[in-house]
Amino acid sequence: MEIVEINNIRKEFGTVVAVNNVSFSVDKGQVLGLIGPNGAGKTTLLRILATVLRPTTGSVRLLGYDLAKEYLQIRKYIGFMPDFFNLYNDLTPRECLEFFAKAYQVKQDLIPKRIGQTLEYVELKDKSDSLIRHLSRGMVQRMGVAVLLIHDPDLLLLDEPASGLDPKARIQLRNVLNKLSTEGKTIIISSHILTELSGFCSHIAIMDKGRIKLHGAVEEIQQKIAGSAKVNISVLKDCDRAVDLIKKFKDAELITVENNNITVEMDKGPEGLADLNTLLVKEGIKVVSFSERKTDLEDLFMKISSEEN
Amino acid sequence: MLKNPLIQRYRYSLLRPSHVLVYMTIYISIVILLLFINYTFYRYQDTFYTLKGLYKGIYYQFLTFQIIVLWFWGAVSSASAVKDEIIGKTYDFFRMLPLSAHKKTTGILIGKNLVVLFLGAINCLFLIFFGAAGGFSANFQIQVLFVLFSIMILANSIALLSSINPDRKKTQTNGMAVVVLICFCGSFLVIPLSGISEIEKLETTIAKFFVLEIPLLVLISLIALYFSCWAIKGILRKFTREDEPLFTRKGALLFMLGFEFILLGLFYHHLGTTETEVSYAYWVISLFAAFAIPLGTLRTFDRYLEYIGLIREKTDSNGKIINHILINSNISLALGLFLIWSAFSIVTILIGKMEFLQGLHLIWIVFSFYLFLMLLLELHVLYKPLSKKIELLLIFIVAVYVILPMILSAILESEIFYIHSPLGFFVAIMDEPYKDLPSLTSVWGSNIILSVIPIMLISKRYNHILKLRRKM
Repeated sequence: MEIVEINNIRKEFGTVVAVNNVSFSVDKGQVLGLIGPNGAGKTTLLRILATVLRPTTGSVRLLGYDLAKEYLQIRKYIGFMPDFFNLYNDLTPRECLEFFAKAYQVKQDLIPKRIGQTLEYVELKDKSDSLIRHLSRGMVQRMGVAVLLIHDPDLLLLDEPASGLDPKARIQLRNVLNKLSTEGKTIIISSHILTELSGFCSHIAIMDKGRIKLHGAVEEIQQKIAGSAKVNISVLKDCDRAVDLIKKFKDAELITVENNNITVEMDKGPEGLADLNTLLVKEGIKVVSFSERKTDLEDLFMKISSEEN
Repeated sequence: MLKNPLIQRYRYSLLRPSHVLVYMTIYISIVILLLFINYTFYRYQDTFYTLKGLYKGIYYQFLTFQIIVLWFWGAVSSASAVKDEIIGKTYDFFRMLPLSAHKKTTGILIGKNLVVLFLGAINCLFLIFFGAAGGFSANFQIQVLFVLFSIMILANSIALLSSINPDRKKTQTNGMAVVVLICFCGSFLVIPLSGISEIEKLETTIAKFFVLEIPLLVLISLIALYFSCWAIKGILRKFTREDEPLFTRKGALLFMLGFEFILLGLFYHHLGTTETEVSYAYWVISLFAAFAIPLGTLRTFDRYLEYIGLIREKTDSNGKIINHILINSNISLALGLFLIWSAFSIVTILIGKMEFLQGLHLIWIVFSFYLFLMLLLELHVLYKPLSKKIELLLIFIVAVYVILPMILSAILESEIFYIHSPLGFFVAIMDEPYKDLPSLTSVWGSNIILSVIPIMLISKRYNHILKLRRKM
């Protein structure tokens, strides 16, 4: 079932085209990572989906509703966490969640239970009666997730959720998001920090200059652009001799050499890798490790960017 | 209505026991102090002579207190609601609430003013009590309460409307709210403060609206409520389409019609009976609306660009596109507003029994002033993306346009320069009969010549937008 259907949307701010004829769809349960450099149009796209901005042209259907006409209906079923946000400092987390629950028309008798569960979910139960202004930035960010979840939305939109967080808060937030993805929530999350999304998204859309450069399941895209593999070889000694051997080896291209660590790009499949390993061992090179590095989002993004340029 | 989540949200933040304790302590102290001081005057200074006089005195002071609470404190609270959301970076959550614009508006206007309304309600009881004890009739008290609450609604709605500006910077204040508060509320505040000893007379003061005779306070209240409706409509529009101008074009023309109608209703009684100055006074006041409304409907450069993009999907002919731009430009709306102004001004010429052709000639001259100033406004819109300082230059040009003719007139001791300033023109037509005015042809002629340069710059910019659009 398609939760999001975007057809040719375009958003202009004066002469700047922030989103340029973007079309794609997101199915139920997908976790879509919007990747792209700063200024790629990710935030604008998310803000359009969150009904905060209106597209200049094009149409969007969210959960079957037309975004242009039925935005009030749509808002009941989505949760949006903006990139820079704060919460009502003069309220406690409990009061804040009660306000949002009522605004999102959660049934009155369910509200206390839902608040308790949500606060527990984001690990803020012990802070439920402190004023929000007394919470740390990481806690406020998790409160943002709590606000997002209080009405149990069908679609979550998260814009750079980890920006400005310290490593500990980042890990805590990541745990919460991981939990959400395993629960089958449909999520669209944007980030320019690619490692943030690695291993978390089922699908990715790479955005640049307002356009979607690539969109699909992570594995699908990895296969599509794979072709060559990167191999990390770590040797105990005789690094120079190992490098000479690799240079002579057909279909292997040396990329970097650093402190007995050699990175090689190979066009041949598993057989080639095995042959190279055998050659090195046969020639008496003491190989400490020999591993193929899977193409991650960062490689993917860099590859697409370099193709563009 | 009290189930509105926004009201409940403000109840949490504003009515915490510790806050209520502070508000009530201050309020009770003020009331006790007020009663104590008045009683002391009555007992030891013979200021009020009679007990009835004492109650009247206390009534006036509670009235002033009520005005401060309802009109000023209330307006400041309403103005801070959205501003706080924007500065506090919670505005996105607020925008995303699945509440209708109507619920958001009532939520803020009531929720943000819970303390104001609570204290206002207690004040009302004091007002009714001391008013009755002071010998004011029930009719008068009802009229006073009506005017208090209608202006409170107006002040609050305008204050809220002026604060809905998502591009607000931290240091910005609600300039518009302050101006509006001074204009609308200040004049009404004068009534209880200046005419305290004469205030009872307000009960029997009758104002005429066309041929209707209405108590003055009731008429003020009705007009305030009328403009409140527009302000609330504006808030609803801003909460629904915040990136759009405040008025639609149809809305702007309707507002202008309503404004002219009300003003004509107020002037009607005086138009037939006195000199032509009344008609000119009507012209000047109503012309303010013709200048102010375009500011609320302004199509920005970005909007033009976007608009042309949409037209280009239908037609690619340059001529047709330029026609579309002209029809939908700020200039065409200004012309529409001026047409309404002219129609009403012609009505005043007829009612005021002025010489018809002379009146038309004067309207034509007003048009030449108006056209030049509106062209400058369009220049501002079109050239702002090139230089943020363009408005400074244009303000300077307007200042020179208004003041220089008067300075030249003073130096050269010639009236001919004086009437080339829009300000000087209106002063001149009010001061002197038409036949004694210096040559008016040079006035409209020079205005038309002055308008040529802005027209050229504007058409150049329209073409530039077209080219820009093609590249996008």
